[in-house]
Amino acid sequence: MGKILIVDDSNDIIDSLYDLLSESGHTVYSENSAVTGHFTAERIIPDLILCDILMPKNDGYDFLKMITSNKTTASIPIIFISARAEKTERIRAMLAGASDYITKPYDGRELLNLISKVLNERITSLDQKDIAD
Amino acid sequence: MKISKKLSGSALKITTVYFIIGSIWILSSDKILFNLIDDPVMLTNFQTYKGWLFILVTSLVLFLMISRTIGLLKNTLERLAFSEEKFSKAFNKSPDLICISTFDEGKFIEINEGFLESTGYKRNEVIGHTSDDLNLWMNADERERFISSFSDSEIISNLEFSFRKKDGQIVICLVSAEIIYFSQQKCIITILRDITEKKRYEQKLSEEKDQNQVEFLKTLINTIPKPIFIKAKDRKYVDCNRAFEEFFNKSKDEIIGSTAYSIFPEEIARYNEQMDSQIFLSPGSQRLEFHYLDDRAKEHFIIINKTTFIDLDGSIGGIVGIIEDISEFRHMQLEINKALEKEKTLNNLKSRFISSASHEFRTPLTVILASADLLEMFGRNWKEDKFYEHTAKIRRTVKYMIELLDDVLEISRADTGKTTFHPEEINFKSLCLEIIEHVKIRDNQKCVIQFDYTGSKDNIKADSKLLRQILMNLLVNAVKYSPGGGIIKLIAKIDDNNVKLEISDQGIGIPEENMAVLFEPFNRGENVGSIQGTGLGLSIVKKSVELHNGSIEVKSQIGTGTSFYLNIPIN
Repeated sequence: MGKILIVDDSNDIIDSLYDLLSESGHTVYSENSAVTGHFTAERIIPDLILCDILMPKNDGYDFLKMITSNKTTASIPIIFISARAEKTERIRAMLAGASDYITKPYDGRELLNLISKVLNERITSLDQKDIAD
Repeated sequence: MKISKKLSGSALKITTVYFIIGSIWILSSDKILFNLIDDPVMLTNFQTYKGWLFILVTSLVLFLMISRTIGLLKNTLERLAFSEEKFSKAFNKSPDLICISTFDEGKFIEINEGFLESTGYKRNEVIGHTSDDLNLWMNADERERFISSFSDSEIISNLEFSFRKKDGQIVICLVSAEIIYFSQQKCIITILRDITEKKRYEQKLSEEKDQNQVEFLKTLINTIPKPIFIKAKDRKYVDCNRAFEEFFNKSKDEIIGSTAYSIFPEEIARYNEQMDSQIFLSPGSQRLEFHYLDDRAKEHFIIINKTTFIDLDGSIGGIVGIIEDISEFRHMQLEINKALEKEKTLNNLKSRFISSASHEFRTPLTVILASADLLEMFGRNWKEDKFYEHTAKIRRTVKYMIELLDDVLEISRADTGKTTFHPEEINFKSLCLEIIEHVKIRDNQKCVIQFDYTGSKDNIKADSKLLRQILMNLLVNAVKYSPGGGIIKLIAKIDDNNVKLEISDQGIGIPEENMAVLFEPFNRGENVGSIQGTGLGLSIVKKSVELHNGSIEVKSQIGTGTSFYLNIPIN
């Protein structure tokens, strides 16, 4: 189980994800904007961030830049959860450095499986890093 | 010549015959007599009469021959006299001018009556004088040309020369001449045919033909519906057709002698003059395209095709130009471009709308699906209140989606022109009260709605459905973004022509940066937080106001409230 940060401007989405993830045993944090999300991420260093793309002022890509350009948070995997279903958007997100991309409305089980997969990969990569250190 | 030869021949012939007969007689008469006559007496008698016989015979022969020759001579003289009379008549009565002059000095030996008549001279003024004495030739070159014509041949025919008459008038003659020998002297017989009248007639005919051609060309040019002009080298108009007069609304008299400045605005005229200078420097064709506003502020788009023309002396005579009015075509092109641009904008708007609508639908669907997933996965272990919390969320979100769908359809109808304007007589005051009541019930009396109505009448002519949408959306928004217990004012003022509405709240206000796109679909203030909304309400309001040819303005301050001011024509 992991520490997951949700960044989305819709409280309804945050509530739904909160319930799904916390019921699944994860520790869940949430923020409504990219800037506050970045502060929280820096503070709690989550194992995974779920982030919306279309948000007022700073969008998901701005948030991704903030996270990756900060040494403390650079290695945290980010999964984009977006209402934009265009294939080009998915490609853009992956090229920008997102770990994965999932479109709204998502299937709860699929999302949980994806989160498990990404968390396992992160654990593996952190282990390898520890060994290397 | 022939007659004298003939006479010489006859004299010789007679003499020869006399000589032969005489010789034969002398040589053979005695021998013949001796052979024929044996008797000496008879022979002597015959000898006596022999001479008389000879005279008799020869006289007879001579008589016959001389008679014949005289007859011949008489005949010839008669013929000669006839011929001379004919020639004399022909010579004198000929309408042509005939003269015989010496080749070397050019002195006139003989002239006919036609010559005298035509030149106006008297016989004694001409005979023995030269053409130079009479100053007949137009100039010395003409005489030289005439004499040199005989260098190749002794005959010249139908050469054209001009002569001066006694009174100084010039006549044009076709000249034919031949070298003859008159009393062993080299002479020229010259026949001149006066073709002055013929020439004049031909010239007249030619001029008439030219005139006819000019008339034909003028008619043709005037019939051409495109304005045509001719400019001289000084860049002044020298001629134009009817279409040109009509196009510039000026008469030909006003145009001729004027420059481009008289028909075009100064800037365009200057450009035309510059281009005229260029075409005179490098003659050929030129095409100008420009647009200008005429005296009546009408916009014209025209093309001028100009070409230089050559004068009779081979120099550049001026410019001939034809004007093509492409205003209609250009305006049509601009209209088409505008329509295409509008279509493009509409398409972009539509695409953006669809994209935004898709996004807006996905969010509530996510909430519904997430609650369904949660209920399915964990609902069995939940307490009842949490279970119902999610079913209520599903219901609430579905309700929101229906609202969203209605708004999307309304916007779509307005965008595609399906929302029509149907004005009817309605009681506006009653409509306001009805909507206020509806909003109060809908939002559980969350806010206080104050209604202030002033006006000379309650009934107005407007589209009740559209007015309902306007009031409903603005009042619902006012309540939605106001704190509980907030005061909302609806002030309506009605005069004969307009309804002026003011709807103000004490709500959260609209951030300055959202004001510009406030009436665009799916745009919501950044400060709305968790307050639900489709972002379509104000778009619907604006479209409904526009269908009434009305206007809407907004003033807002964050944390203080927002006021909408509407003006709706009611006639």
